Amino acid sequence: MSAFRSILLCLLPTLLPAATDEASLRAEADDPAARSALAANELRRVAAPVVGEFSRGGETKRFLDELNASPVLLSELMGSGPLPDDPGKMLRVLFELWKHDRAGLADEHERGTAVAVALTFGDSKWPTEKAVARYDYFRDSRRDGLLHPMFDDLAAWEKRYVVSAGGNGSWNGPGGWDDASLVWLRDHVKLPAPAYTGACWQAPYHLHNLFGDSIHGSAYYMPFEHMVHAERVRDVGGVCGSLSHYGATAARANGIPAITMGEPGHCAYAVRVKRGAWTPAYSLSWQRGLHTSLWGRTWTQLVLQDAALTDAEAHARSTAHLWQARALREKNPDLAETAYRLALEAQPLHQPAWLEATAFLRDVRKPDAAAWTAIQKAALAALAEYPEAAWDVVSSFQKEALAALPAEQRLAYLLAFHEAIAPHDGPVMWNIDAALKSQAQALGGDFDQQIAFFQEVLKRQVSSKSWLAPVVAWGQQSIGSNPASSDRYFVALSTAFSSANGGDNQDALRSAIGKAVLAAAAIRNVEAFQALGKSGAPLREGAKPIQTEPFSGELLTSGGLLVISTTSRWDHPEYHWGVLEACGGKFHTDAEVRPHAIVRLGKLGDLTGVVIHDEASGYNASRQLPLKVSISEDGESWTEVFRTTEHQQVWRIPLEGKAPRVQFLKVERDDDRKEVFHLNAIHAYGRRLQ
Amino acid sequence: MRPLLFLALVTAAHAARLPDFTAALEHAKAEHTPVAVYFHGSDWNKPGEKLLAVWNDPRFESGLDPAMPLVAIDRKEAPSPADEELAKRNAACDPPLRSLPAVALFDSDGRLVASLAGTPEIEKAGGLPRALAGMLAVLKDRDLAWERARKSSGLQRANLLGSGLDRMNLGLGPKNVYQTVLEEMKKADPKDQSGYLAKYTFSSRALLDMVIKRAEAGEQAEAEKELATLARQPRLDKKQLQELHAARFALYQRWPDKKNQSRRALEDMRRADPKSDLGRAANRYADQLER
Repeated sequence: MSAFRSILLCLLPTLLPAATDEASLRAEADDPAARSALAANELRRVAAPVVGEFSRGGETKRFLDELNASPVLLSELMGSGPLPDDPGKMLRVLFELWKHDRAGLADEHERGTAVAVALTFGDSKWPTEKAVARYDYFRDSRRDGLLHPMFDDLAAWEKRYVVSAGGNGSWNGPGGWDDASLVWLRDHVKLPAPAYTGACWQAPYHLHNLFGDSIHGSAYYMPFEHMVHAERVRDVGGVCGSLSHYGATAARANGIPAITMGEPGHCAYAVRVKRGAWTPAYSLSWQRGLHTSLWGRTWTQLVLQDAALTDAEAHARSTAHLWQARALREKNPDLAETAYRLALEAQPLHQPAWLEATAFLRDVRKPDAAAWTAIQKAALAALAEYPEAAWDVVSSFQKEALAALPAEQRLAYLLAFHEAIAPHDGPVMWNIDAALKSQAQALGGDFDQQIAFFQEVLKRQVSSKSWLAPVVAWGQQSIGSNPASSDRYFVALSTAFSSANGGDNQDALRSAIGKAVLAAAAIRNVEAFQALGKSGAPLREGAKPIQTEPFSGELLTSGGLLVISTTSRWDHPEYHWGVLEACGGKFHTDAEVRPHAIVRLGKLGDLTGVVIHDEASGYNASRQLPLKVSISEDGESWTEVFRTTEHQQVWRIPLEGKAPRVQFLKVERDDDRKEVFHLNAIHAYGRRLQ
Repeated sequence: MRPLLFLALVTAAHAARLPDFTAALEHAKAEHTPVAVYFHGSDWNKPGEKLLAVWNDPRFESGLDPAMPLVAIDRKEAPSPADEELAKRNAACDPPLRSLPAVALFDSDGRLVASLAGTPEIEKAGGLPRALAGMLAVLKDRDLAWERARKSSGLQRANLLGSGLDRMNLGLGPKNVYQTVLEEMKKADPKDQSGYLAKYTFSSRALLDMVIKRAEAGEQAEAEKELATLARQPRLDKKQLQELHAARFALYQRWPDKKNQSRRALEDMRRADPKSDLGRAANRYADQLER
């Protein structure tokens, strides 16, 4: 066969009749054979030099022929989420795997593993020469029955969260989370999938190793270089980074998808304990930056991507339309726009498609005001259940849309976002503050407009379980914290809550802030609770500071969250924040059986003791008895550490060595009386573990 | 007579396979026997199922006390309501296991005596039957020592109690289940002439924290004194001695006047057990200092 003909054959899919209208675009995407041709076109588009090089003959040519003749392999390669940043390298890796185990790739399990390895090691940060060993590890471990059976049923895109075991989303060589650690973890840490969320604690949290060297220096693991890294982390210890990598890598080594992720000042991880069920582990905040992800670095994107790619047929059709659009962008923008629309129709949850399509519209098609309004409406309709993902999309064209809109329509345009997301809680809290800031600034920086914007957003979010507290907290920080404008903030607040008209009405302000504090507590939003608690500080005038003798270590309750079982007409939620701080505060439940307060500590810690302060006397003091104190790491399973039937103004509860890992405290009255319950301070002291 | 005896043994052996830990413990208390537990996960753990076949084989019971209850606890990922009910009856059996399959032995009070977690550990012990035999030997030695302790007093009693703990090599056990033994040792030997109190209250972390804190306060000499006192304790095992020398090293690294003694601390650590992980770590650190 001539060289020309063989190149022609490799490029055959591109010679198929091109779609010319919406009907032919649809027909192409609906037909698996045509979809395969589109995949080949796309591969050629993104990896043209390597495809060209491979087409010249020899073994690489046979590989390309086989790839083109195998619609399943091609579709898996091109349709398992976004391609790595170096698609040519991806193709080379797949070629190496094909060469290494051509027969193995005929098996669907091995094929999926090979595709996942190619997609992972196709990233420019991953070493090509390590790919075969990674493939062998999962192939052989599976065949030997050493992996969790979940691995057998994973699609290639799901396996990307397994085969990418390593450091922060990239290869970790000798001395780190390399293949030797995978083998060790596979054999020594075999647990039911949900139990991997606690596997990190097999390794002890130690800032210093036995030699007194800090983990922040280079000597921490150095003396133990004769050990496999996973083993030395278990035996020597580490802090959040090492522990989270231990837990996540243990899951992945056993064939279970997992990731590590950054949180403010912390490293956590997550395990996909079953299909669609990503479960955070050692996680202390919703502010997560995923180290491995297909769609983006946010938790919302992880959850959304899981939902979209699980719907394989819809995702395949949507992706096929994207390929069509990319191929048409230059030569037929009108038809490209149609293809983008079809991609979104095929799978409205396909967020990367939204981002790509709207970027095309913004940069090439230049919609007018009406079109932008319609596009935003469509995006919000598709993604409102994932508010953070919706914001990613609408914010990408906010500037252009506002520029196209008449000034008097801009506020309504921005508020449409809040109207859309208000009924939905979303999969997780997100940085709505940044969205509010961006929207407020987009209005032109006029302070009156910003206050009006805040007031209108409040009106729309006043009943929202999730977004009210952060909206109020943002308003407090951006408007209320400025003495010159704080009155207007309070007016806006009290107006929104319809409880008063004037900023000088203290009761109205207490009521407004109190409602927001309770809302923040109900959704466990620590940041909003803290911001609102501090904003309520001026309202606590006249409260006497409490005097308590601390235990050793730092005040771990500071910066935390207080949730009480019920509120009451005697309760002032604006005082709740102080209960956890050195200044003291107050909470007061309604009359109920077994009333309680749950504290989420500001920092996960090894406790030295707890101090509880109760200013009550006489009959009121009896309301707290019998008093029971419990501790918990997860807020679900509790261990009782103290119980008393004797009232004291200050209970000091030593816990040295008895509470090594505590994130939650529960203080309750443990009897069957229907009675109120109130305290002034709950303070936990100790050594932080984060 | 012989066939009848054989039949009786077989019957008894079968009777000792009990469905859950609660029943097994009741049985063990009545019969004064230990309880052997095998942990597996039938719907997710393939290596555990291979060993389960060994555990369930009637030949596995040969040589075992027919009165000793054997329980297989199936930690399923997708339990049925019946499994969940069963799990409640096994809730008291929750030793800290880092991997499955696992085997553990409990005394008739339900206290952990020994455990092996994960196929590598069980294989290293020579397989399931040998692993269990080894655990039973540990229990036998422990009980012998504690039986003798019951008839002794003072220093001798403390020594025997301590040697029973030594045999298990579990420290004070999960959730300090053997704290009561420590309390008995305190009563028998309040001045700790045996050295066992020091051994079973030893904490390398507390030692290191003390060193760091004192060094920060400029009290290195006091810290050195504390370490020297502890180093004279006769019962510290090799690992504890190594940890103590590591704390000495940490101290000298924080003490400019005596920094030159760091190497000696490492050498003492290495010499305590050269082939152990900590011995090799000391050696590696010394090499690093040399460079």
